[in-house]
Amino acid sequence: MPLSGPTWVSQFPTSKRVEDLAQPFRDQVARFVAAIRAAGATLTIADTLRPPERAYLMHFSFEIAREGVDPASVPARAGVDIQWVHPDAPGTPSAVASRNAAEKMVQGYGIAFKPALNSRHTEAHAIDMSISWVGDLVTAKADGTSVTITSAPRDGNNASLHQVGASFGVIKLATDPPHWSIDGH
Amino acid sequence: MIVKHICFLMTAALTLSCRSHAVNASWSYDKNVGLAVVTAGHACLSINDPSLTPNTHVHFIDAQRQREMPAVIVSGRQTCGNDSAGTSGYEMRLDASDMQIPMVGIVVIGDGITFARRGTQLAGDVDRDRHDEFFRTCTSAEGVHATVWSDAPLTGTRRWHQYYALGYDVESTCMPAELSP
Repeated sequence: MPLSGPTWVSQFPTSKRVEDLAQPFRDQVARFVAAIRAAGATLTIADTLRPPERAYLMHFSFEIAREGVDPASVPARAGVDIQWVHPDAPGTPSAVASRNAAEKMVQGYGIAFKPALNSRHTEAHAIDMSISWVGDLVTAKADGTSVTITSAPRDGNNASLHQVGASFGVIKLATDPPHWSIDGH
Repeated sequence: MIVKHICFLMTAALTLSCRSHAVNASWSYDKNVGLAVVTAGHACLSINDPSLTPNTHVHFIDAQRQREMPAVIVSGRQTCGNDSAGTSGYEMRLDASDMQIPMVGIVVIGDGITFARRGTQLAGDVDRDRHDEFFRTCTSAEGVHATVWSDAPLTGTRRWHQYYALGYDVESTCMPAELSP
């Protein structure tokens, strides 16, 4: 079983692909994105699926490195064949070596705050994207009716744009500007 | 009646004095406060001022641990990643030997600003209006909300707010007052 350490950081990468979202959210997002792009807005996708395996690695590496969690107590996860407990030279478990390896993962991931284990992103039910436009945005709602957005801001924080997204089943989370999901969480 | 008039005039004069005390009229939260991300290899400042020059001294505030550290601008750079529209990026140098990195902090630019402890909180009159400012960072679903408050954190007047997208999901720690745009 491979030991924990920075080589894990490149595994289970975050996706930017709409195709990696779960149905029916995938089709809802695809239609919303197509409508916004057809209206001439600039739309850049940052994240879609954050693999639960990656969230597991980030969460527990942080707990071991920064919160003193015993690496032997970390639950196993299917599909992630990692050994959190490092042996020292004689082969006995080393808390220091285990913590140092976890810290290298924390640094590799760039973790500044404790990662969550579960989220709409790990469920493939969320997308992060930046949206902006110039002038008025004439776009279509899910039912095909046309909407002209004249209000500011001319970006993803626009309340009228949120209503357009909601018509497709893509719901804005107000507290996090790039984040849209299946239920607003 | 005369005494009342004198009191009124004195109060008005004192109020005007306080309000006109700003040392530097060009100082503003918009231009002089920014967000910095410190990693093992870099310290990058994102701020709404394209005119900072190398060797500009700044104050880096670790709001999580409520402490201030001096830092200096090294050079301009294209971006810090996850920048807000209209901001400029700068490479910073600061002594990170005892810092827990990666870290997201608040940067304040201004001469003669001093910081002190008010209980457990770091405070400093950054806008020179004779009211202390306080500094906070908290997490929402997947980002950091950094705020500066006058008089008291959360219950005082919120002067500045910026969001930084972390790119991963976190446990939420923000209070409602910290989240509004």
